[in-house]
Amino acid sequence: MTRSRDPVLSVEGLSLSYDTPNGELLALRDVNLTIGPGEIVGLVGESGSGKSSLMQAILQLMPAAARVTGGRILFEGRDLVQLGPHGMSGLLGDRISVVFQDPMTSLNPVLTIGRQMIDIQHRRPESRAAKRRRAVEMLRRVRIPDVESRIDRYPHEFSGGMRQRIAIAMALMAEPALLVADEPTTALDATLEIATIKLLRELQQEIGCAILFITHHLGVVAELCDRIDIMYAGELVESGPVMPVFRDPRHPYTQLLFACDPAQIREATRHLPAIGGGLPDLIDLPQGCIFAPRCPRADQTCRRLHPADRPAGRSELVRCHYPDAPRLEVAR
Amino acid sequence: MTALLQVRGLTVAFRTGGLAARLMGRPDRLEVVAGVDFDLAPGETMALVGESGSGKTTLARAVAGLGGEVGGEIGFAGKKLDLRRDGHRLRREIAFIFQDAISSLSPRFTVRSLIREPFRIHGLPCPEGEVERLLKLVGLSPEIADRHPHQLSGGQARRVGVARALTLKPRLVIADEPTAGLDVSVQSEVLNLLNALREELGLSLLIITHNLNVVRHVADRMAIMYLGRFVETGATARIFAGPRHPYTVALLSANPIIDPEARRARIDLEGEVPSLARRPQGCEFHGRCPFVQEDCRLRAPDLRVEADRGFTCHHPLRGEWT
Repeated sequence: MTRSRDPVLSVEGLSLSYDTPNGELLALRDVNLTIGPGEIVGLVGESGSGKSSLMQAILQLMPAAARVTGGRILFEGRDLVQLGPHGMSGLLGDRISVVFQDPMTSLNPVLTIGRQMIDIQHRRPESRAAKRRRAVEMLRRVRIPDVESRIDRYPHEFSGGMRQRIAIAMALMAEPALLVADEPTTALDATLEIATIKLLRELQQEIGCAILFITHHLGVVAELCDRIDIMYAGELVESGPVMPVFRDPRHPYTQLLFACDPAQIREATRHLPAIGGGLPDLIDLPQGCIFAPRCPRADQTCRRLHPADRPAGRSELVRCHYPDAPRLEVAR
Repeated sequence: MTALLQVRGLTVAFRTGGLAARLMGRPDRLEVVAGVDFDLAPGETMALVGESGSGKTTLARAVAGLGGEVGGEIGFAGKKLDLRRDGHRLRREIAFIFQDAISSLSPRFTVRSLIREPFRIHGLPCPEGEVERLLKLVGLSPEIADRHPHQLSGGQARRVGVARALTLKPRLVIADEPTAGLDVSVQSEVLNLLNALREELGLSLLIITHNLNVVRHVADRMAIMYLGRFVETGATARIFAGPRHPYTVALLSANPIIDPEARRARIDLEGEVPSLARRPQGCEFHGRCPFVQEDCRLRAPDLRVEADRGFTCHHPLRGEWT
């Protein structure tokens, strides 16, 4: 995929800390990420990797203890860090929309779906009837059955899968340039998850918005996304086009993560591989590469020097001293 | 080999509504598990698979003597069990690992007292050094014994749950979504642990999960549940190689995987799971089945047994969806 066009979103050298009683927790460190127009980018990472912190920074919905200590987040020419939560309110729900893991985060339980879908169009100079027609049309597009009879019902009268589709419909009503989707299918059953992913892809193609899809499910990334970005312990360690990265990952963490995924192991086995070790302490960071304490390939250089971002293979960014070393296998 | 656990015609119902519902003619009990038969041999692992509301957790809880109006028969180690009379004793032989590891541990207890609790409940002495031995068995360092649940990571809490389940040397361990919410790298460790313990201690395992990638690696046999009944059972490898029930195919193919060559032909299901209060006539899957025929709407299919597997479908698939 060519990346010559101006990106919709570009996160440049972003660092973010939390003030905690035990000291400054360095949750994000020098994160670089770009999303091109109409691209679907999968942001992958395990718990504690910083993917939620990054999302909150992009949406400027950070907890009070969070502080951006460096870098910028450019969206359509504006720095969202400078804009802050107040300036952001003009963009959210208009140019940038969000779908959360639990659809009830964005649905108001005491208002009907119809009322909420009309309210969200408050920026449009149209009549209420026209807005209602648009709402009906959008609900139909996310395949809510018998829309006319259901639009005046409350969120609790819909099933979990339908609520998530309604949340997606609301997020896309404004035809945003960027949709941020935070694990939108994690709480859904397998058959609904697949249907929701298919729906997202179709709608994205119609509307043409870019999507930042946050998940820990590698299979979903493979089926939905154009690009994959992998985070580990507060750093973005690898970024590139989806299938090439799956075929030839260059960062040792990416290699081990893929090798540990039971879905990736074709032969049935009773003993599944694991990475071993745990996340580093983000208050008292180890010197050198953040993955060095768990990396089977780490040497003196890795333990002393923090690696720079460099391209390797088809990956555009790999934060490793030895991205061209032979692929790591995990011991079974 | 004789089965450790024999389940015959098991039903589990819950009371709903109450007087108002009864006066309005709505059903006042919901049959969440509606007639299930299976055997589990010593040292065997069986997985219960199904979507939310399919009754897999309710079934497992009923086997462990936890909750619901239970009908049918459960045989354990050759004896018929009366859950009311044998419940207390049963809990020593059948251990349950709960889905939400952290909230299943009392926040005011230390790990040490949590592991000692089962001994206390059953009036047994806790042998010297037993807590440390159990912690070591599940791969935790003994220092953890003095921590409280909120000081544990998800993986550690899950291991404490496993240690606690093993205290009274059970013969059957039931694990409800043992890896839900765990990261991929930690998930393998918990599954390897359960499997190692099964081999070492000769445990039987009943694992409830919706993660098919996990089932493929850990379970000897699997049962697919829909609306409280088994729609297909058999050896895991054979079901993955050639599912017979259309719902099994839909479930297996709904598993997003990376390798495009390994992807299955996909069956998309229409509509949503019907309500247990209004079970469909005929085959209960007919409303969502892409291969539905006239007789499916009229007549419920009987269980068909072929070699070591069973399925309930009038028109089973024959390997065209592998």
